[in-house]
Amino acid sequence: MWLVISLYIVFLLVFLLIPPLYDGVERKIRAKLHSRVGPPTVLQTWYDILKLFKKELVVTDTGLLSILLGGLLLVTVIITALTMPLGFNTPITSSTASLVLFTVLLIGCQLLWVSLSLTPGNPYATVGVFREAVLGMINEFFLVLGLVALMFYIGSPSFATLSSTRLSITYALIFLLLAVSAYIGSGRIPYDIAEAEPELASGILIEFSGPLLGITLYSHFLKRAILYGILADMIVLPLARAIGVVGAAILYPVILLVIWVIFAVISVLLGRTRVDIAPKSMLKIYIPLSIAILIAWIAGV
Amino acid sequence: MGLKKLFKPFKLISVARHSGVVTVLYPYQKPLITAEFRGKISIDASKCMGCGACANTCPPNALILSRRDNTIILNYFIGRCIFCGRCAEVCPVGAITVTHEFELASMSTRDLNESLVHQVEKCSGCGGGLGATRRMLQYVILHSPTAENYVHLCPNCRKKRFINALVMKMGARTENVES
Amino acid sequence: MMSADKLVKIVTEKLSGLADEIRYVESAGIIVRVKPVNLREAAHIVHDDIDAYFRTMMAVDERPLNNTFAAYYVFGRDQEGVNIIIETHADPLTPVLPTIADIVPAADWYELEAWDLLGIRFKDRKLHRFVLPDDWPEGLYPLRKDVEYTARPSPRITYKPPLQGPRLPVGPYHPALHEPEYFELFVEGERVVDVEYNGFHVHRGIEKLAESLRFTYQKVPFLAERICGICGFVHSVAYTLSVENAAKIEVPERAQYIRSIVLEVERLHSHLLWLGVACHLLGYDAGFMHSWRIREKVMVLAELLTGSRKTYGINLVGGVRKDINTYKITAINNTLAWLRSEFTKLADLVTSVPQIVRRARGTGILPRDEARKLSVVGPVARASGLDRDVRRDYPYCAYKDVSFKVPVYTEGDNLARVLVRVDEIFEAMNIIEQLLDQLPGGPIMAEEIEVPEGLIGVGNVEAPRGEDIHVIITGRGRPYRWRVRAPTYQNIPALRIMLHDAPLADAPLTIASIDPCFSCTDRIVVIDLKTGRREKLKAPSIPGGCGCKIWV
Repeated sequence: MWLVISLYIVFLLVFLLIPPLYDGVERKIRAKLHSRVGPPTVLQTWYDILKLFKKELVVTDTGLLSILLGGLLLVTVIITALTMPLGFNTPITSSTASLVLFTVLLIGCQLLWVSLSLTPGNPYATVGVFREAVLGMINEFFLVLGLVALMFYIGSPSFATLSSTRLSITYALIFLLLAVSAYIGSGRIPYDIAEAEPELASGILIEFSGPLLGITLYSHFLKRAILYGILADMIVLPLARAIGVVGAAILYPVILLVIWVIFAVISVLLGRTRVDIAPKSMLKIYIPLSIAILIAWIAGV
Repeated sequence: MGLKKLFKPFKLISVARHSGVVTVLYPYQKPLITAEFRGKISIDASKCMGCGACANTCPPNALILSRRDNTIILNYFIGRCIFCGRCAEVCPVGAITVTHEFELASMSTRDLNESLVHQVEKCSGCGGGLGATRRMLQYVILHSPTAENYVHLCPNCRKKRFINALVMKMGARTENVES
Repeated sequence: MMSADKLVKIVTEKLSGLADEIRYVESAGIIVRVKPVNLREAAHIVHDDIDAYFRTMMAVDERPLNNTFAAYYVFGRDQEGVNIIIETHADPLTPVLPTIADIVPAADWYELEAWDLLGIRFKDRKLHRFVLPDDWPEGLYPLRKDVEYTARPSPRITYKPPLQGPRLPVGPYHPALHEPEYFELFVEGERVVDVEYNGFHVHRGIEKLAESLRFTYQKVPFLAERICGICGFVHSVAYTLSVENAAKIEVPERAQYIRSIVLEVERLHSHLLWLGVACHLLGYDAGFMHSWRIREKVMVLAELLTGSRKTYGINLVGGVRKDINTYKITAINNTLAWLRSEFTKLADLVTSVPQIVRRARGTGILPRDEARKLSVVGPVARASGLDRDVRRDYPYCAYKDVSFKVPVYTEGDNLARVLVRVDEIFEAMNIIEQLLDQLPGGPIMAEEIEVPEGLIGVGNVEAPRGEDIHVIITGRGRPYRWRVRAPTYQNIPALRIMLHDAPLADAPLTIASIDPCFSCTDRIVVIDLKTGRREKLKAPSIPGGCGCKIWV
């Protein structure tokens, strides 16, 4: 018990420090694919965020709202991370409806993100939010659908049962669905059109500066880590019994890195899509996948 | 066939691997300039004769020839130079060479100014300024040796001497004719 | 397709009733002088009957010469490669000319410019501030000969109401734009319903500068080269060609070959740059990085050939300054071989990314007849089915000695413009190889360089962006009037058609697909702005466009 709790505290801190570090790794890998050097170290993203905290804060006349919502977003994302297992289950994540709680908090994060982007009232940001909303409506739906399917598959709305689940084709298909929705939900090319300043009019972060921008960026990376963390959990938790709690705790950040790197490489290979093409292309992936999950589950594979 | 098309973007990985990292880590590595590169010019003070051909041809007027009292000053302001090398082309004595230097930034504009000061020769007759430097006169003599006879005199003194010579040839006696 | 003589005969036939004088000047073309009252009819005959393209218009203050204001409308017959120039003169005290913007829609911008800078009024059309900033005082026309280059007027105060309604300002500072330009997009949700363009933020007064005492004929090529940071050599060559044509200077063949080689090298680097930018705008940064990596070798080659990566500085009136030796020829051949293999891989890769093809196909369409009416140039014209290329139609330098394909696509969408440029890169490599094969010996500079006064000359070059045309009237020691018309100037009015009723997300790619070079566009005549000061200029740019706002 105490082992679990102390392990958890240590690896929670690791988990909170990881997202900008992994982003640094991603930037180096992207640079290699571009035939260039990229940032000098993998700690660059951390340096950038910390540098932002030293800069001055410039806000619009709705600045107070932006600051409050920014803080609220950061707190909510961190709390969401607390409700998620980090490769092994804790008393919080073993509670009866922990998966449901996690799903609701995740949606809450997304809503706060959209609200935060609406606060400055800038026309560019508004266009960006419009695009984000179009994507988000479809993507969030299938993300929730995937998590609900997972709950049905493992038979209970708690993370605890995930450790004892059996692997099968249905499980793999659910994993795929969640992987796609995590990829799109974390704002990756081809679906990063919300914050894409080469596009003439988007940029939900356009009015943020200084510490507010630092907080927002960190929350963005942490949310990305949470989304990929679900996938890592789906891999590591079933193995936890075999390799023990400590092994699972160490394996978890490694698997998270592998997922992150794979997604990073895919995003370098593709171009950005357009906001009216995006829903159609998304549905072309999701609907067949959902039907396949249904069929596989009914067939019992 | 559709699958092959789906995986074609992955060719990027082989392209990137084939070319490697191409960044030159300047200034920790040498910069990428060729032998033909035109940097700032260097004016050889031992050759320059202050004729101003370079200043005449310089498109942005980075080279300026000015006269002050009995000096001729050639000023080169790197801030205006476009590194075209026209000055080096037109200099009659080849005093200007184009170097490969391009790291010219400095905290003070004084570093960007170079001046060459020439003495203006005095007329051996009346002592007035000739408007030419010694090297200019030597250049003229080099290309036209008979010029040595009159090139050290200002036009007025030349005129006086010519009239004196003419008068003497006609056999009259004169004192120095005052102008 | 007929001979030049036959064309002269036909022109004489059709216009002899209207014209006061028709003469053929080899350096410029068929010059038809008409009275202002006959201008519209003459323009209609030349543009529609004779089917000549409108190339440029030059307005000149000729009061010191013949006490009039003159306007030269340059039309061109591609098939024969001959210009037809309609010359007309206006009263020196109250210069008024009829408008031809309804007959020749492409002439709209030129008339506004002539009004702004020379004070020539055009009847029956709305005139508004176009090139000059809003706070430039009234009644001071910078390009007139009585206004000194050093004049510094004090600004007048104007009031501009703030932007209202569903208008999205893009620029003058925007991360997507590489140069200051200002588009006002009228959006409804995600659809662009109209666009206003206000430009001329980086107007530097280059034409007036070349007329001032600071410059001479041999110094202007260096000024011309700095008109644009990507296609500077094109302007330098067009200028020297116009002077050499006017003064009938015999440029040695070797010099023409060297000019052509360097022009094609410039085309390579410009198209590679553009391809990278287009990829970047579509989110495919890998394409951007790799195309610029390939381009870097071209830049190093350019430096080896000329001494500088971009502002080559090798062009002078009468020839070039730097020669090509065998070492350089080997370097060119090596670079081209490497370039060919690398670029084929890159073009393959870029066209395989589904998002790029999906977003470029069917967007930003410019129909053929609209393109013809606006007389667009370059890849924009060739992608809309107009088979125009100045290298083939009005040959200059060494292009008459080489054979090359001119890629023409008919779809008129962004993808067509991409493919035209990709094809042109391969063609440019072919041309360079042919030129190197046939490189003649001899001097690289003309023996006699004497430029008499009062001659008119036209020089044109196919820049990477399209046809660049310079018209010059020679003066003593320096040009009397130098008219630079860069290709983007002719192409921007087409943007309104391309962006109309299109999704907002297509706008950046569409704007970038005409390869806009605003440095080129904005350099038109005198504005005595101190360097670095930019003014936001407001003027609708399209004839009869909705949303017209007149601040004057």
